[in-house]
Amino acid sequence: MKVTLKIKRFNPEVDKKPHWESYTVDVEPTDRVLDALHEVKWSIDGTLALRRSCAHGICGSDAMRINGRNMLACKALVKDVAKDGVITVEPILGLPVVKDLIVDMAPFFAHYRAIMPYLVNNDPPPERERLQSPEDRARYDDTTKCILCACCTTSCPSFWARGEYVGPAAIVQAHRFIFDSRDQAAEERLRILSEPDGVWRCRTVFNCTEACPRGIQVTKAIGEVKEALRTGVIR
Amino acid sequence: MTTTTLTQGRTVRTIQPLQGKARFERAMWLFMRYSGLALVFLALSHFWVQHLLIGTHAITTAQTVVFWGAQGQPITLGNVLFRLYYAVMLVLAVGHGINGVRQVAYDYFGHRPAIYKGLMAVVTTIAALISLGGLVALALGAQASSEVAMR
Ligand code: SF4
Ligand code: SF4
Ligand code: FES
Repeated sequence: MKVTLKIKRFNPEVDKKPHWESYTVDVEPTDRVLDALHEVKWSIDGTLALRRSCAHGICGSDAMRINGRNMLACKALVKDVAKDGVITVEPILGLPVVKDLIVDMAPFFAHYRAIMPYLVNNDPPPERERLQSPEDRARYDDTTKCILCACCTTSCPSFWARGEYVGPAAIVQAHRFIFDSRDQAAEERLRILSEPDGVWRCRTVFNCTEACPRGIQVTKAIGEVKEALRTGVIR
Repeated sequence: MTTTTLTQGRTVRTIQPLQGKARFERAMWLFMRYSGLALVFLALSHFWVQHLLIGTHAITTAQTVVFWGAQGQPITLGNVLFRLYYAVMLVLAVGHGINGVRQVAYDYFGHRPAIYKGLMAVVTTIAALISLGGLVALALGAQASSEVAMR
């Protein structure tokens, strides 16, 4: 089938502001938007810049705004997103555009690092692994699935308005450790998230949950962190 | 392979109470939740009283004076409840609105302290004036309020 990709292009070396360019490509309906973008880059216009690595929804590097919704280009099928044969593709919002579909992820990862995304346990290491009950392991299972693609954070109106807001992805990552019974820094993370740019900036809009390509219940995880802050109990 | 189940059930941990700014932000967040919920019922019942009980075409100053208890007669329990009801609505609505504006102002101008503080000063002044007006309306004696109503 023929499909027209309307892509928001920006080259900082020549452009003052972004502009739209359209490319018509021949693809299978079951091809992914990433395949269509490859077709553009490899056969029509080699100057198109985009980021991708695994092409299988694992690395989280090809998050983009497709028809106004954040998705991974490698997980969105052409037949599902094409509207009257047209697909619009833009860089994700709220982060500085480097070129075309590539944004600067540094502010995003700064928020990620801020919540201490690693296990903290000061007890002497046991002979083998640090064990926990199946129930304790299940507690944070959902948030272990995050691939740090930024689909959630860059779909969040609170983050668009204020880039200092730590954002849903960092809260998901914090949740993964806060509710891990083996971790000993939950209190410190909760203190970071209780600051004015922590969880309170979330207005429960659910954009993040809708955008997450891993199907993580993002807003629910944020709600659980708020609940821990409200009650002072991590359960 | 042997499986050792170290523990069973879920671990529960507690944290130290929040302090300072964090404590305030949490209180404000809870206030928004509870006042928002309360305002839904208050606003709906307000419409019910005014438009169904009293009737859309009968909402007049005179009718309000009767409900308010300002016809120069001793104030009844009904009048007191009516005043309390609207006092609660006023306090919650103003509080909810002001905090909402504070949040939005912080979202967009939090990184520019001069504008943010200026905005908050304006908002606080408006809130103070509304509260003052509310207090006057609530505490107004029967005689004074009927005089106001006459004018
Ligand atoms: S639920 Fe919260 S974090 Fe998620 S998009 Fe909405 S405001 Fe942002
Ligand atoms: S929570 Fe989902 S949308 Fe957000 S970064 Fe992780 S995988 Fe991406
Ligand atoms: S390219 Fe790796 S997730 Fe899409």
